[in-house]
Amino acid sequence: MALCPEKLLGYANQNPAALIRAGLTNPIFDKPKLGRLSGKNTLLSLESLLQLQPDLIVDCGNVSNTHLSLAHRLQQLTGINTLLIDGNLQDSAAQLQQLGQVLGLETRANILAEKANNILNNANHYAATHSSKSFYFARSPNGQQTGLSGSIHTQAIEVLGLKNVAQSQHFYGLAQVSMEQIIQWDPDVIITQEPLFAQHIQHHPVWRSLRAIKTNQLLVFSNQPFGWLDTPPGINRLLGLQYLQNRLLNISPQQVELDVQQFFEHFYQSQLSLPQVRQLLAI
Amino acid sequence: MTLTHIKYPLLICVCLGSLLLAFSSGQYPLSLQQQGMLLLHFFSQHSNDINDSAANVFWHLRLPRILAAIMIGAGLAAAGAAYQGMFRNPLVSPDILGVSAGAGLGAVLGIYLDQSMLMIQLLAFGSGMLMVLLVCAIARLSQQRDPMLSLVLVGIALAALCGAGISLIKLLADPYSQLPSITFWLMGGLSGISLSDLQATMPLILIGLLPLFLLRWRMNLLSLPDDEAKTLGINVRQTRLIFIASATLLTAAAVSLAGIVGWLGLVVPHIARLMAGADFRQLLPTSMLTGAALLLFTDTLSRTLVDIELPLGILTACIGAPFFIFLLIRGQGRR
Repeated sequence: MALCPEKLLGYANQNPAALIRAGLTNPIFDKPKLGRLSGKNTLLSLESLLQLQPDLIVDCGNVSNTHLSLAHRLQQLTGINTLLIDGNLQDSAAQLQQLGQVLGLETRANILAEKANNILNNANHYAATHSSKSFYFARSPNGQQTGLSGSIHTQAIEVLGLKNVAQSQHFYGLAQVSMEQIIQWDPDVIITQEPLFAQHIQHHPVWRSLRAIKTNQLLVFSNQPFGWLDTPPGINRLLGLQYLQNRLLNISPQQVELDVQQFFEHFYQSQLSLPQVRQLLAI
Repeated sequence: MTLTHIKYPLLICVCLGSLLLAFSSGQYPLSLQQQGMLLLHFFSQHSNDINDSAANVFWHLRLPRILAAIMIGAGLAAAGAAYQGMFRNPLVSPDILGVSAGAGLGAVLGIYLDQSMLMIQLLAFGSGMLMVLLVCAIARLSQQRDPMLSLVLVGIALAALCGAGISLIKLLADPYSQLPSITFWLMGGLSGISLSDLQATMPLILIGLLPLFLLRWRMNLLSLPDDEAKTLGINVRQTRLIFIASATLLTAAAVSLAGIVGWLGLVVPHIARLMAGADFRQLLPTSMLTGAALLLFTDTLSRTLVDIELPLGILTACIGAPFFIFLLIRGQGRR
């Protein structure tokens, strides 16, 4: 979507109207929702896929034996080349360049890769030079679902050197945790991109008694047009990562707004007006 | 002296044991002595000091959760015992008439439509009740001569439809945010229960328990063939309706709060029958005490066994299924 939206046939999960409302104003983003294509849990039938006649199927995310074998099978069944790219956030630039090479779009890919690298280098520099705060990433309306340390859900925050309080030796990925455990962890910052959670804690005495909330360290991120930190784990996380760094450094609001505008311009080829930016930031 | 004679003292000891264990375990270190002080403080002078995290943990987290476990455990066990008695079948569990499947569909729809927690609970409760109403209404239309058999069959059919509905919503849900929430909900758990949740649910559970408790002697008559029960002067249809309504209310209230907690309503009446025999007058209170103690113990495990919360449904199945098999083998040996 970032590299060459004009070549994209449709969306897997996104609702196009919602994307356009949320700031992807460029008309090239107006395309149908086709449904996702993943193993047995597939909404797009292989016959409809063949009817669309794509030249290439790209899947960016986890590369595991399961995903590899699924990609192989898809390629065998449809005869369409299938490309599986490792979705690790730190490798964003390499992903863009790799796809650029395959699609013959090296120039734009290199420009985007440089932008991605800038954001990541800044973040790595921040991580190396600042003392690390601890954070809790609240998902779901009651905030008790979280991404465990090292999972793709909190990668964007951890790149900045922040320490995820939810560390587990035996589990990986998403988990449900108890409120007692959150009090015990006592994080410096609580981060969320779930608007219902931000409302929920207004009336919740236990959440309100946490140090992070009392010291005004609840950072709410937008989930439009995509989640800024998670959901889905893609290039969209660079926007959240940059915004988080700006918030931690207390950068002036004007600069923050400008950064958001530029990100949309570079990665989504869409011009956001200031009111639109402010609406995204005011969540 | 047999198990039957000492059952109440034994059960009360087990309940107290689970209660002490539940109060004294948790991720936040809080001694029983501290909790005693907090209680004393509450009764001597009412002060709501929001800044004290120990008080917060006790009043807003541990106490509501323990009360919820007791209530839901007792409620599901009572509903299970009632259903097993009515259907004269030991394989029946409280979700036989589609309450859990209906509640599950309601909750999953709530999550899919991005509703608040309260709304999700309401949807779960409402659709659980609605499902049983539908089952009863459709069963009345059926041509089956045995009314209980048609209830079960319609219940199975509608539960399958709800299952299909849940699968459809899972397919359509956002795989990154909604799908995990749906999965967690369907596995059950008592995490995040607040005092206000309890205030809303406790009356429903009490309303469900009251008729079961007061009319428990009639259940013995219901387990006779319908004709015999009628000759003994009870209105079989009406009594059965009261029992179904009460057991459904209990299950729907429990499921709306805790998600799907399997096995408890099936296994606990069996354990209780070992202690109390088949007489429903003894079986109901024994089931309730056993259910409360078992769910309290399981929930304590779920929040303390590892550093994250283990879903309750996993633990109740892990404890319930082997125990059930043990009872089956033992029962066969006796025969």
